[in-house]
Amino acid sequence: MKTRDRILATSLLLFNEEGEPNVTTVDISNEMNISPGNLYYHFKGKEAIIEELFADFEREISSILNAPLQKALSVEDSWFYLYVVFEEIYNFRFFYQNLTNILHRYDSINRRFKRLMQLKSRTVEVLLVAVKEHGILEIAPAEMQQLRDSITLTLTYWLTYSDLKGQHYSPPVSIHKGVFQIVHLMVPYLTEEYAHVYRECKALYEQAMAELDVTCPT
Amino acid sequence: MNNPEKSADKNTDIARSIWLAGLGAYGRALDEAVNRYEQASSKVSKDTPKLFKELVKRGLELENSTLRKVNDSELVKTTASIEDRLKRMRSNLGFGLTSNAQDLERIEQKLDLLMEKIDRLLATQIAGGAAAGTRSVD
Repeated sequence: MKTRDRILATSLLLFNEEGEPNVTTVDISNEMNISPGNLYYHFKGKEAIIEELFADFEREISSILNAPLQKALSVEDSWFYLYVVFEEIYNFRFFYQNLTNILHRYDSINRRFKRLMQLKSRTVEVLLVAVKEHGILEIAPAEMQQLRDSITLTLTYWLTYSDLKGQHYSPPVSIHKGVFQIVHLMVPYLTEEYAHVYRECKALYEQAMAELDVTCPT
Repeated sequence: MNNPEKSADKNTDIARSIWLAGLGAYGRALDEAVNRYEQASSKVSKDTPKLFKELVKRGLELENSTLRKVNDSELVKTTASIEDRLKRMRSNLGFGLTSNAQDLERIEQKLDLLMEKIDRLLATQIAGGAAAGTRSVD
């Protein structure tokens, strides 16, 4: 791996583990056993590193959110799709742990992050419209917007919330719980005909928990 | 608004009642059958085989549909593990291919080598051309 890529990988690791405000460029070069001068040769400060990491995140999550989804995603596919969105957020969680702070400090990230939020919201809406047209959900247009926002909110803050609750689950457990939480948001609008969707999700959730060795309270 | 959890519970209750009723019917039918069988062995009775046949036929039907239902509910568990299915979704979305970065690096290295070779070839061609005047290099 090139020094430049190693700097990015190490920074991401340290930011995620220690929190971005607690990590300096000296910490990063110490961790890598290179001189601060060498690091400076590649990046002229922490801001440049953060901007590059954000560009990586932006590229990856945009391509997930823009993925050409099949018209009627199966219940299972939807579950795994949401999982991957959460996973991507988890990989770059330092942004989300300090969102307001980072957005205040970096104006360009601020603007781009807001565009990402719009994209996220739009993807959720596309998914909701698809399941509604399929007859799985019965929901009025106004309520649809509320539901879309609730789901986007959960997607954005679930992992942070999970941390705040102080339950030390492994990341996959937290993520499956997040997906199940989103399923619960949709339950009130499930049509009678598709009531089994909830049971399928519950079965998936229970299987995931069993595979991850977590006893889930029922 | 409907509550799937509630209706799932209701379904479970109904299923349990059917199961219990079935057990009850089985018990009663067994008593009846033993009774009739005893009667039949003492005095020849025409309706014993008929009742038996009916019970066996009904039992077979029930057994088949029960087995089918059990198989259906196990279907979810017998398919691939969650992790495998996740991997599939990641690769569908073009993710989880950790070798991507390394592949790119390998291609870059090959390109570098190729460029070097081309440069060297060009250099010898020019040098050869200059030295030999009109002679072309093959």
